[in-house]
Amino acid sequence: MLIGMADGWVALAYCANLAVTAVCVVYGIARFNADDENESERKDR
Amino acid sequence: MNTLLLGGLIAAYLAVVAALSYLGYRHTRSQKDYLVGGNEVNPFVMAMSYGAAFISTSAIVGFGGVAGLYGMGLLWLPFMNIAVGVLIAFLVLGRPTRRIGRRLDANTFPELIGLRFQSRRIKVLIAAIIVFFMPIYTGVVLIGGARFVEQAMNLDYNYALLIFGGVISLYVIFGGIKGVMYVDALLGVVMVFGMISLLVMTYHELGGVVSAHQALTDMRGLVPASLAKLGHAGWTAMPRWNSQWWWTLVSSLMLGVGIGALAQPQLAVRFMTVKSGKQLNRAVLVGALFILATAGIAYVVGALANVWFFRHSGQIAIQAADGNADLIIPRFIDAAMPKAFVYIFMLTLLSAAMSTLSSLIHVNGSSLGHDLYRTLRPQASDSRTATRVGIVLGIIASIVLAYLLPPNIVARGTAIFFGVCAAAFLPAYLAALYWKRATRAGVWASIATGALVSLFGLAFLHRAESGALGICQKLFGRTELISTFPWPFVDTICYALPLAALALIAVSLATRPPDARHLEQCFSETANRENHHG
Repeated sequence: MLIGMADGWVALAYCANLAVTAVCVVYGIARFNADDENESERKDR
Repeated sequence: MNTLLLGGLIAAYLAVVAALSYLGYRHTRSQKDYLVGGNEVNPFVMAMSYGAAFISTSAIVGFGGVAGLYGMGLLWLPFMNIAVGVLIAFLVLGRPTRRIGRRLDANTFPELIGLRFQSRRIKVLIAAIIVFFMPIYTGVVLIGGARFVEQAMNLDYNYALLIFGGVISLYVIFGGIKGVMYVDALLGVVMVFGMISLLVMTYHELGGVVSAHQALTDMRGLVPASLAKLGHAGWTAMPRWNSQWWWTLVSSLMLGVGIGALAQPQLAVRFMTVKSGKQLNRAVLVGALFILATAGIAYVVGALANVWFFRHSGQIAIQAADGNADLIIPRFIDAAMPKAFVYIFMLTLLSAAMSTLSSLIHVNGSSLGHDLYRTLRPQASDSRTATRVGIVLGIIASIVLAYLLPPNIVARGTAIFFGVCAAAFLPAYLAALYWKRATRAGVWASIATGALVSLFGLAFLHRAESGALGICQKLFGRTELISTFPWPFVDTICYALPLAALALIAVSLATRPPDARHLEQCFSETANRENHHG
């Protein structure tokens, strides 16, 4: 019985919430300064 | 509860809201500032505002109560909200929405789709769908907020409705989207602080994470027979496969709300408020943490309330809430949490209602003023005044609808709006960003198919809405046309969205390809450079 849950699917949902948030946090930090703005957009701005 | 203390807290809170709204007003100098924040909104503000607009009071109290009733299987919903509503939405939809929106100088969601397919009629159609259906959803949130003010301040409900609607209208009208987003960011911080405190105190009360879950698992034998019949298999287990509750959880909540969020105009417009992809990367981080800290926590606490109530009163949560799932979270907080926290949670709920409502009425106003009025009266150069009038009309329509419609229809407003938006807009929105072969006629067919099939499903097939609307009952003497299980419980998105996508593909392939020069302008960096410099 994982983290006290009766059903592996619910334990998975609990962990999946934490995991996908961790992915978003790592992505946000890793690509903190990565940009998709091209030269022309930058100039226009 | 000390009404004077709470009143003082709310007054101080509203003073900060007024100050931020004034800041938005001072920073708004143009129509672009008013509608999309001049494309230069801070990523933290954007992400908090996106999340705060997404998570309303009903997500915390309503869905938290559903988790109290049915258990933690509902945790797949915040997973979908984060994986689809943040990660996919920001990276797969957000980036091209921002880029194409800027290239075409679009200021609203209807304008983006209309300009991408070179059709003022498509813009008008999308704006009309928003203006027609959004007041029903706005009505739900407005009523929730007014009920909160009524109870907290001991005010008459009618006054509470007018005061709540009036305060929000004022800061949206003057502050524009900058005012809305600044205030949303503050409200979001209050929500996160309130919810994290709630989770920590709940786990502490119940003896830690695993002990609390285990205690909930051990209550499996207490599931009432009426719920077990619907598929309830315990609060830490998924519902029984192919049961009524399984279909509701998977088709309506996970797919309907999870995927439905992708095509919400009030959320999509936020992608156009940031200046580059860098801001979207940063917003992914903040947005995911926000959804986890609000929706994720509400569902865990809602389910765990069963353990607390059972230990203290020998009842499960729904019994302690007198059979009303909406009361599970408020009753739990009132009974189990320190009194000071009750005030913090009151502000959390007020924040959730205000942030969602302000975003909705801003989009409703811009659809009415900028997309409809300005398209029909093109001589008007700046749409700010028309949008402000649209905001006032939208809030009046929401209040009138809240009074006119029966309560059971208003309660289904979120599902109706999400269902129609997802089916009508999602295929067209995806095609606008990624499929160059999509044509104007294909988009017309897709929006019409999605909206009509959704409406048909809501009126004649999906029991929750068809029963509340009563049209099928009046015409055919029964709540839904197909009573064979599982059809009355299959959400309209399951068939309306694929049909709308099919209509888009079939009609697009059968009609002449779009103008190559226009596609160059939308997608090609070289053409964009020439276009701007030439």
